Amino acid sequence: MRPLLSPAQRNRSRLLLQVLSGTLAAATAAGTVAATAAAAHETAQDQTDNALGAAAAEAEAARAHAEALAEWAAENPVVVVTPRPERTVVGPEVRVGASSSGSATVGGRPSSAGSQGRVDTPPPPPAPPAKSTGS
Amino acid sequence: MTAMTAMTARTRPTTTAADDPPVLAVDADLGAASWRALGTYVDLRTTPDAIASAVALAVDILNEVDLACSRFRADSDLSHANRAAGSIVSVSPLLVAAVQVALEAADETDGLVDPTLGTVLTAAGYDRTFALVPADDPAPTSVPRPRRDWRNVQVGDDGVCVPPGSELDLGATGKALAADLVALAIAHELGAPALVSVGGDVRVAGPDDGNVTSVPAYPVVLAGTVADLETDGTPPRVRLRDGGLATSSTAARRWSRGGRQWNHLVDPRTGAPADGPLRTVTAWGRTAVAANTASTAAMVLGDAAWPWLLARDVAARLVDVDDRVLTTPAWDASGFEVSE
Repeated sequence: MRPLLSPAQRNRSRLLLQVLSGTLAAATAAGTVAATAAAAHETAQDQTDNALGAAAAEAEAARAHAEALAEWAAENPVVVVTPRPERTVVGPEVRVGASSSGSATVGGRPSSAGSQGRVDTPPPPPAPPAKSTGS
Repeated sequence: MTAMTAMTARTRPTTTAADDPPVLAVDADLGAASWRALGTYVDLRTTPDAIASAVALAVDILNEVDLACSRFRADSDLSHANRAAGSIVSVSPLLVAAVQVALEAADETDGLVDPTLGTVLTAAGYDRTFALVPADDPAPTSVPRPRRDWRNVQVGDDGVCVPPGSELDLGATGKALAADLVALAIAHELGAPALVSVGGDVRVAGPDDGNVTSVPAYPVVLAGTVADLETDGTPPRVRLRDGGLATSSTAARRWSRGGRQWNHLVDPRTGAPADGPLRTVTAWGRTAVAANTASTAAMVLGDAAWPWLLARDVAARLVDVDDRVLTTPAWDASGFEVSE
């Protein structure tokens, strides 16, 4: 019986079949990768969009909350009292005496001016002199 | 003060920062005490009977002044007011009094003694108690021009408002007010005469205000700086029976920043450190604040100080940079400078 294909034809057909199968497999793989990449890209874009939208919404909510708080604070003022030590050493009489009007007025003469030897005073104490220097 | 002995007081004085240890030296027999507070020295003279109580009272008052008026304490009333510039800040009556006095000094001198120079001093490096300011800081700095807006400082019965962009500094009148407060408190509450010197701002007060016969004539030595006292064998000496005496000097509190020499006396007209022909001015006034106002204004005026002092009949002693001494007629007439 005479074979349908000669050995050479059979070899070529087999080779052609293998090439076609490989090409098909490669095309299938490439298509799968491309489809997967496209899907991933779309997913990432969706996630980005979603995140941006969520952030914008949160920011808007925070702004609205802050405005509401500010409005509430303006209508409900609160005095914050910081505890401080009681300071009562300097009494009102001394404080007023030291800071009353005219306390910084320059000029004038000492009451004792020119009368050091004539004022009837006790002798000065033997204490050492105090200092008046620039400081 | 050879007879003085160091001892621990019932209430130890404190200082604003790392100054010299606030060792209190008291001579009860002489009614004399010295220590450090407000970043400077304090001398107190009173009667031997009153010295212990007077020291305790003085220490408490100076602590109170520090808490109210210090520019170098974050918790002071002054720092609160400066931080909230532009807003009315509730402050202690003591800071209200200090600001009132400072504004009166500014008004008296047409702004030569300006309490709103804080921004200038801070930018120049004087932003901490002086003991901590570097003597020579090469870092460049930009110093703003003085805003001269002391007229915009608002002060009420219990609040202060610092103009926006300004910073109050009470260094000029603050120590003088402290001397006034301590001397008056001792006279009023202890019934004893007292001399108080806070960094050279001196006040003498007696229990019977206006009657100087109840107050001894306290000796006071004068110098540009404390160091000068140690090198000058015969410093000038006055006897003070009433009022205040203050000495201002460009030789004190000096530092260098960015290659520029500074001192604590700033001319508010230029924002530059006072560098006129005067080195030291001592002036008398009815209060220590008044005396300090006159001496500070004279230092800032420099060449123009003499006619300014004469026009106001200020008893003053001026020393120029060549150590020449000039005294006003009012100083000569006062008769309180003595040679001993």
